[in-house]
Amino acid sequence: MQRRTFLKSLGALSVLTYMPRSWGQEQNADQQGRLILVQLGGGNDSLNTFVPFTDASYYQARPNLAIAKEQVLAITNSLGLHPAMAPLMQHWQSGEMALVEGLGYANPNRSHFRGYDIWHTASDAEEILSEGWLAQVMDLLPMSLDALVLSGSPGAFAGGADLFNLAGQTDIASFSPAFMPSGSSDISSLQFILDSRAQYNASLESLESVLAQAPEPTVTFPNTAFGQQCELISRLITGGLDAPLWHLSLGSFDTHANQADEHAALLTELAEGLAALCAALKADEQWSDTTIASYSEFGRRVGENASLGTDHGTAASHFVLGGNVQGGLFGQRPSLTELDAGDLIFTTDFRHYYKSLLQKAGLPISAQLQEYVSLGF
Amino acid sequence: MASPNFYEARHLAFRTHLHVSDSLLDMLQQSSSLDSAVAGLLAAPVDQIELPDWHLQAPRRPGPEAIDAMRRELILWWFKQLANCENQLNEMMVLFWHNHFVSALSKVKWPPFMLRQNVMFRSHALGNFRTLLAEVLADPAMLIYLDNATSQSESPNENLARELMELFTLGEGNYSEQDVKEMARTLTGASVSRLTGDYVFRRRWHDAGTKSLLGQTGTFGPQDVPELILAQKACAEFIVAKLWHYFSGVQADTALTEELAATFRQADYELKPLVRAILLHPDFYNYAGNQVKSPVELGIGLLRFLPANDALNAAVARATRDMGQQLFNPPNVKGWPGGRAWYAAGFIPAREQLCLRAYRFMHSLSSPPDWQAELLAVSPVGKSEIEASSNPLLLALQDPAMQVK
Repeated sequence: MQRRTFLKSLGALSVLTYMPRSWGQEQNADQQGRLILVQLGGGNDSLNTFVPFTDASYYQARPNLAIAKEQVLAITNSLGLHPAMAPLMQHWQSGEMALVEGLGYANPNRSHFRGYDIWHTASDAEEILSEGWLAQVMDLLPMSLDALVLSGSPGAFAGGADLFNLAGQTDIASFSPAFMPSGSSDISSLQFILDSRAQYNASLESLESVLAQAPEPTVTFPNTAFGQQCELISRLITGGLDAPLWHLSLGSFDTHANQADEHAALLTELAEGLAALCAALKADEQWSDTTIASYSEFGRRVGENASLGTDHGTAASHFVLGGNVQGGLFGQRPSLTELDAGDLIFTTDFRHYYKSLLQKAGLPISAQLQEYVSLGF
Repeated sequence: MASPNFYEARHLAFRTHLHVSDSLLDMLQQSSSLDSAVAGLLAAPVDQIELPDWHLQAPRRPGPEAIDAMRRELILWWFKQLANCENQLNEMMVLFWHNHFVSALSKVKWPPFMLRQNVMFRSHALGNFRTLLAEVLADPAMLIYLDNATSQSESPNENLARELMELFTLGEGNYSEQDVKEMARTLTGASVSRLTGDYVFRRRWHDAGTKSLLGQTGTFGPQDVPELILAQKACAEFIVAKLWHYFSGVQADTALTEELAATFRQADYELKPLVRAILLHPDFYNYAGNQVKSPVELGIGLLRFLPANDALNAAVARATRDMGQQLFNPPNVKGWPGGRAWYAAGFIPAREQLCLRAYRFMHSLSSPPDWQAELLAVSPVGKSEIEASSNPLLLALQDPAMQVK
């Protein structure tokens, strides 16, 4: 093994001082908002989340799992929310919730992991890209901290700098700075450790000072992992952290068996957490700058299986929430009878959705998404 | 043929052991050759283990407290093996299979199922892959985790069928969507007895019809699946590439994959010849220090320097959870992503804290026992720096190199 050069200056053990980076004070908050992505890990069953309650073929395909017409929360005369989504109903009614139907891509892949690669890199089905779709956006942002990942896969940010990945941990108050020797290493894994510690230390100081300034939330957040992550986002935003990109995750939505109770519980956790986050951001007048959007690696099979669950499918609908969002239905509802091997045929390329989200959040559009069109929400 | 030098011995030790001691390095360097050092590691007997008395208990519905107690005991049981096992290479392979043939207690619910799966991994960790695969397809934890236990001929459940080919044996792109459906039909009926908790084949749930699967046609059932899978060229390639990555920390290129796959097939899917080929491959020795230690590797590596006791095991178990690796609960069917993801910002404080706590614990003991000398001897920091430092132990534990292997 080669000598590591940084060791030569490693006699003393003092934690070295570091330069906290400025937090983009030159930014104009009126122009740039923030995008909070919500990963529904495992493949959310959007047919049971946004229920086509007048479509007889929906009830035929799901004799056991279909949500009864009397139970859905109707948002149009043919579509209703799963009852567990009730906490978000007020946002539909106030025109702050958009639903984009039929999102997907050609030649859909039904693997969780290949599916996520495609969604995270905004590639075609057969195309292998290494950079996340937000990495190019991060390159165009002048911030010192572009993205905060509370939980879930950081794949959408892969290759982008200035990311802080909390990896599900929310107790920032218990974090302390990492020991930082001076110097550098010509072994890439050691340089990676050094870089990670430096970035961690710099960001931690800023996060702690933001949290110290954050007002006490006026809203009670649910005592679930997802709820606590929503609360941390709220505290960081109301404390003044101006990172434009945020990510959190819930799941597993991979409901192959006994789906009904599990799916309802997940949607409850999702809707209650997000409703609290929306309320907190509204109270702090951050709501008009905020766009919250869901995504998932695929939807689920139209027909249920014999284990009272649903297998991997293709296209799905996703929701967008925000003070500046044009509420209503966007995209186009896929047919439940003209199927591809039992799966929905997508109507709306997910990259139109991505471009629309960036536009709505006032973020720069990467070259990769230039050719796509805004869906208008 | 020459005895392994210090750097070869150290690399081999760190990649085949959870804990590297001075005496291990001496032993490896005293081997007549690398070949004999590796042969010695592979010849070590599998440790005898003691099991909690509930390990064969059939599933029932005890109160949540009873299940919680079993769950805690289950995790501590594995940490006890990790902290005490003699055959560390076998233990490293158990960790590998746990993260390959993934099942999670959060879904399986019944701790004895996870325990029995772990015991099964132990017996075949360095055995024959064909046998291991057959055992996995009859493993209650797996059949529950991937929902095959409830799969029936009328609209079969595709979960196990898909992940078996995508993540366990062939890799994405080496099977068709039609194969997933046909594999699901083939696996119908492979289930778990509610009464005994053992594997059961439910004939009435099985689709006995003709299947067209992976290029072959027949009235296949679950027992035919290992051979159907192994007949695919992709299977050996997929497994050798994953094991190469596990030990070396880098992706295998096509030539190396084919070379190792040929070895694997020639050995009729025995794992020891494959692992031997990996550990003796000249390229393997180019990658010293390139892997971030997993939480278990970091935690057990330190724990085994300390006098063993249950409280310390439990503390390290909690620490590994805070560092993102809760044993028996991988995050999804692909397992922990590992590699540099172990050093995400949110995990750095728990990793740092573990090293500091290990330091304080060692420091609190009145006289410096042998482990202090031993830790320093295998420390990533060179001897000259150690001698120059006012606090060598802290230096060793906080060095960035402590985080990698």
